[in-house]
Order: sequence, then C-alpha cells, then structure tokens
Amino acid sequence: MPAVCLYFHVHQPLRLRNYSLFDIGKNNNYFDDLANKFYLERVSNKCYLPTNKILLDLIEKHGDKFKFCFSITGVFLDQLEEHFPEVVESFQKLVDSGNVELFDETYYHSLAYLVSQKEFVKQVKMHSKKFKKVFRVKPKIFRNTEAMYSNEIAKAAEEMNFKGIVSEGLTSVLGWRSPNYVYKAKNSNIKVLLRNYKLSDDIAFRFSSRDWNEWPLTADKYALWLSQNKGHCINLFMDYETFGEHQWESTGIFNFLKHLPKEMFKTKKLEFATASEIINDFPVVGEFDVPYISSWADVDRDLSAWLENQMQQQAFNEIKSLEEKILASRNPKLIQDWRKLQISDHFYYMCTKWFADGDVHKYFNPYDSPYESFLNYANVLADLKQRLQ
Amino acid sequence: MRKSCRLVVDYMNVLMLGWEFPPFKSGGLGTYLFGFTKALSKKGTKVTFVMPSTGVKINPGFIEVVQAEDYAHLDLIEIEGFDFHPYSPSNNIIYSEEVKSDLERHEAEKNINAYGMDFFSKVKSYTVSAVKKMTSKPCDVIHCHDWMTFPAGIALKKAKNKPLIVTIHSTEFDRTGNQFPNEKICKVERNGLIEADKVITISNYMKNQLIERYNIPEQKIQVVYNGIDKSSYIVDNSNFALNEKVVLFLGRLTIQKGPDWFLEAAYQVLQFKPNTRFVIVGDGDMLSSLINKAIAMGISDKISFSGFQDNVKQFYSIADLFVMPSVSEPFGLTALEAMASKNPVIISKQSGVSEVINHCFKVDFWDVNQLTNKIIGVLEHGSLSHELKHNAFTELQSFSWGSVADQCLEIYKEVV
Repeated sequence: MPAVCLYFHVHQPLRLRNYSLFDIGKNNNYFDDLANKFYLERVSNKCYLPTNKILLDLIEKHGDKFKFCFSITGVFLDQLEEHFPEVVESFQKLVDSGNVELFDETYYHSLAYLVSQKEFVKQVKMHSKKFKKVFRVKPKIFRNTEAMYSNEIAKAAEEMNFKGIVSEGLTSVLGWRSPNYVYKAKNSNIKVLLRNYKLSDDIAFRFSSRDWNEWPLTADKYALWLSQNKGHCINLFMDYETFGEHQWESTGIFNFLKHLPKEMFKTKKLEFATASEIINDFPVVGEFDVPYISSWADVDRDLSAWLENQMQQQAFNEIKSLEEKILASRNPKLIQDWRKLQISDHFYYMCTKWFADGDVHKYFNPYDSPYESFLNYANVLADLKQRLQ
Repeated sequence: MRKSCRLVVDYMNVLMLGWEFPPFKSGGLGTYLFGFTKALSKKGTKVTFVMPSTGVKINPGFIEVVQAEDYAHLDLIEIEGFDFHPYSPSNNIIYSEEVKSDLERHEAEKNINAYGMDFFSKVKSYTVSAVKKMTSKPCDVIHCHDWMTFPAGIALKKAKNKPLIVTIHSTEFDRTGNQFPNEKICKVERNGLIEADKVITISNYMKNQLIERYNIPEQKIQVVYNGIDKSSYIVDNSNFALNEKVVLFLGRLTIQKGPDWFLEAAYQVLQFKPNTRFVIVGDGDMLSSLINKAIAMGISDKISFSGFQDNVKQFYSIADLFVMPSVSEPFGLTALEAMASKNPVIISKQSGVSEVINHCFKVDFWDVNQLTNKIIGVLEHGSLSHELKHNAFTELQSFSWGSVADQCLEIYKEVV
C-alpha cells in the first residue's frame, strides 16, 4: 500500500520597481510595493484562500486519514503579514489541525548555498525562527530553494539537524531505480525524499493541456494511476500556486483536488502520509549520489535557469562579493536589502533560454525581456554599493 | 495542357515597379528590393524591374559585378530623365573638395534645395515612360513598391488586365512624422491601395495604419516581414583605433527617424560617460538644426556627423551600440543590419521591427531618460552587451529573403 506524500511549496517574489540610472544615489526604496501587493492579492484570491479552504474541508471530512506538507518562504510570510494577515491565519488554521507538516527552507528563497555556507545557515535559521513565531513549529525536513540538491547540500542540512531533505527524482542519478522509495544521501545519513516528477507534473504542468492525450485528467483516473504504482511512497511535490493560479479554476483543478482523497481511498490501495512519517516508516533502500548541484527546474534539472548566461553570473557574483562588506556595516536595512536581492527570482527573470518562445519563464516574468531585468537589477546594485561607501 | 498550367504558376513572370536599387542610392527600400528580387530570381521567378534612371546607365556589367548567376532572370529597366529621390532630398549633391565641414556642407545643401523640385512631375513622367515601355511586355502579375510607382501600376493593370500587388514600405504619415502629411500624396497612396488586388505590408504596425487611416479592409492586407542576408555584415575593423565607446545612429535625418531624440540622449549620456562618441550616419533636412543643436548643447566635439555613406557596414563594425529612435517606423531594416553586424540594439517601440525581435531593448522614442539609462547600461555592462549581441545574431535566423520571396510567391499565386 504506497503512501502518498503531498507537498506544496508556497512563495511569492519581491519584484523590483523600475529603477533607472537616474535613481542611483537618490532612492533606496528598491521594491515595487504596489505591484507586489497587487499580485499578492490576486494570487490570494485565486489560489491561497480557496485552496486552503478546500484542504481544511478535506481535513474535517477525512480526519487523520488526510494529511500533507507545506513549505512557505519567509519573504512571502512577511508580505502577507503586512498586507493580508487573514491569509496568514488561514495557513495557521491548517497547521493547527495537526495534519500538516512544515518544511524549512531559505528565508529569502535564495541561492544562499552558493553565496557561502555561513549565509546559507543564517537564512535557514532565520526561516526556522519565523516558523516558530508564526506556526509554533520546528520542522524536521529541509527543502532547499527550487529543490537544489547535492551530496554537500544534504550534508549541510544534516548538520543543521534535519532528518530528511527534498530532491528531484533525477532519472540521471536513479537509473533503473524508482523514486518511490526512501534513499539516504551519499556521505551523510540524512534521508532523501524524491519527487515523482512524472505524476507530480501530470497535475502541475499537464493538467489543463488539451494537447495531452490523457486530457481531461479526472480524480478517479489519477487515483487509479497512483494505485498502480509499485514502491513504498509516492512523492507528489509541486508549487502551491498550481491550484487556481497556474491552473485556473476553470480548468477544474479545484474539483480535482476536492475529489482526489475520496477516489484514492476507493482504490483501497492508497493512504496519505507526511514526509516525516515516510522516512520513519519505510526502510532506506539505497544511496542517492549527486556530486553536482541539481534542481527541479525546467527540463535541464540544473541551475541554468538562474546562473547560465553572463548577465546572471555577473549579477550573482557581484551580490555574492558584497557579503563581507555588507555584514561588516552592521546596518540592518542594508543587510536586509542585500538579502532581498538574493531572491532567486531576480536571476530567473534574466534567463535567456527559450525567452523568445513565450514559455513558462515568460508567464512568471514581470519584465519585457531578460535584458530589462538585468539592467534594472544592475542599477539597484550600483546604488547598494554606493550606500556601502 | 495541365502541365503547362503548372509551369506558368511555378515560374511566375513579375513586372516589378520600384524607385531605387543599389548601388544607386538607396535606403531601406533599395536594400529590400535588392534582397527580395535576388531571392525571387533564385527561385526561378522572372523579374523585370522598372526604376527611374539614375543618370548612370545600368548595364549588364553592373549586374555581373554584383552576382551574375543570381540575376540571370532579372532585367533592370530604367526610365530616363531622373535625378530625384523622394526619400533623400540632399543626396544627389556633389560636394566640392573645399566644402568640408559639416556646417559648410549643410549651407551648400540648403542652396540647392532652395531650387525646389516638383515631385509630381517626376512621378508623372515615370508613369508615362513606364506605361509606354511596359504595356507590350508580357507578365503574370504587377508588383509596385510605394506611392511613386502606384499611378504606373494602376495604368499597367488596366492596360494589361493583370493583377496588381502593392507593397507599402512607408506611408506619407510615417515620412512626415505625422506632421502636415501631403494630402496629394496620401491620395495617390489610397488610390493604389484601393486598385490593388492584394496589399502587402512589412509589419502589423503598418497594417493597422492602412486600416485606420486609409480605410482598407483588413482581409486585403497581408504582413510579410523583411528579411536580411546576415552573412555579409561582419567586416574587419582592426584599423579602427578610437579610445571611445561608439553609439551609432543610421538613417535619414528627418523627423520620422528621430535623430533629435538621439541627440537629447547623447547629451544626457555624456554627463555620466564623457568618453563616448556618437556617430550619426545619414543626410536629410534636419542636418543643420541638429548641428546647431549639438553646438548649443556644447557636445559637438562628441558627435560625428558622417553624412550619407555607401558603405554602412564599416560603421556598424565600429559601433558598440546601435540606436534606432524612430518616431514612426514601418519596419526598420537597419535594426536587423545592426544585429547582423553583432551590435547590441536599442529600438523604439514605434517600429514594426519591434513586433518581431526580442533580443534587444525597446523604448518609447520620446522617453529620453529610458534611452539614456539603456545606452549607459549596455556600455557599462559587458555581460549585457555580450548577451544582447549574441542572442540577437541567433535570432536573425528566422529573417531570410528566401522566406520573404516564398510568402510573396504564395500571394502572387493567390491573385493570378
């Protein structure tokens, strides 16, 4: 009887305002508060509030049999607290039910691991502290930004006392092996939860695609697919915004979610479990060895969405090189701005891969082009550097 | 019987009416017609090209000099008695050796322009000669480019009872920057559009103008974007040793092309980056006011007015950045040329080319602050410049003259 682990990642970026050459040295308000609030409100109404409601109803209906996991970025919680505290409450209600497990991650949804070990640990600790304050919970599972994973990252998570860590179920690493088991990381003992990308993306990417020969995807059909899986666990990991934002309500995604547990129970072969239950209940079947850094993004499953082209590398290397000076300034506002500029989305917007094709990158991008995005960021950085002097 | 029908369709015989053709000057339209007719004849189409006389006899020698095999099917026929060019009022002026400075040159131009030229009598005599020479020449379709050739096209259509296609490369509204368009010219344009069996435009920007300003039904208009031969633009510039970053403007110095906005941005850029040179290639009625403006701004030592140039590739090759701040640009072939020369490119949003290229900056022509911001951004950040030029060069793959020819051949087949 495979255990199904649902895990939703919740995040909204902080978009920069239009920041031109003429602002440098005159304006250190870098973020577009109006746009950020606008998007936050839109996504709250389209996704967070209605989906939270559905999940809460499911918990009430199925009791302990229905459970799932969340990770929520610090920078997102900050924005909610400021503008829409009622959305924070709806998340708290879910967590208070006891059927929801929370994962830690970097506070700023950042590439902090690539900045320095010290900065990485700091941002994870900030996140833990935030969760303690908002949800009174200490997570045991770690999920790095965009599921960035390597043997070294797993080891670093273990050193921070996490029992489990999330990774993409990389075919290139698994080979003939299935993602539907618990593995352990190479060079450490932390357990690895592998995303079943085929079944996860059936919901996250393909659900509303009319070119897909399985369209329309119904809850009973999907439950049948799940029940036909071998192994101990099926990890369905996706962005929470899949529900109502990436897949709009009109696609039927909410009805799908509402009916999925019932249809799964009907098969009598499936149950829900949290990530901690999975790593406690099932034995380790093998070692997961990733010597380079991977991620769950795009088809490449690597860092190329953030750090491929020269603009991305220049921007990231500059922000990275400021670490020592920024921290030495002991100026909290400056340090906070520096960390907000580490949010991975800034680099994602500069991605030129497939830019002209109008794909998923474009949908999430507030800029007309990666070049606009880079220049805006470079101007902000120039101001940040001036403030340091 | 069936076989011979097919042959007629496959090897179309086109009577093409145009106003300019390289190397006899020639702006975007000349470059277009060169690339387009070359691609058509490569595909076996027979093209008879009718243009005004250039004063120098075009003989088969010239055709061979360019690329003989490509021109096997192309006849160039000149209409006698012309020295007038509607797009470039001053480019037929030959400067004497002693008139060297920009200012002196400009004064010389002013005197010549002062004589005035009668547009319409030139068009009229072109029409008369073209109809006289071409009525007996067999063809399947007549294809006109811009208003000067429309009266001839319409007359030939009626005389020969053959379908007429017109391509609009720019309208009177574009050329005048929408300030006091000549009503008589608008009327000639509208007549051509109405009489044509099909209208080709080079962008949606232009298509919408024809619908809104000339009341042409949408179904009659088809967009065929420009092409470019990107292989020919990389030239050696190793002799060039200027210790300044070069920002290039290339186009007629008229309201339409926005050279005054370029100058405004240059002034601002120089406040931040004094070590920058702005090169203005082109000629036109705004030259003297631009020179005076540069002097008044105190930046004339940083602006190089290079006049009209035959060899534009050399200029692209020394540029660190190309700017096309057009107020109203039906397409903007120079943007593609700059991309082919591996220049990073900033273009105005008021251009047709901005509909189809992505790897560039796009600004409103009037937004001098944004233009300044972007010029400095590209000059300052090597990574930005690198990504722009390399990705843009790759993007050019989708713009070939072969594809322009294919799309037009489809349209010919539709109307025949």
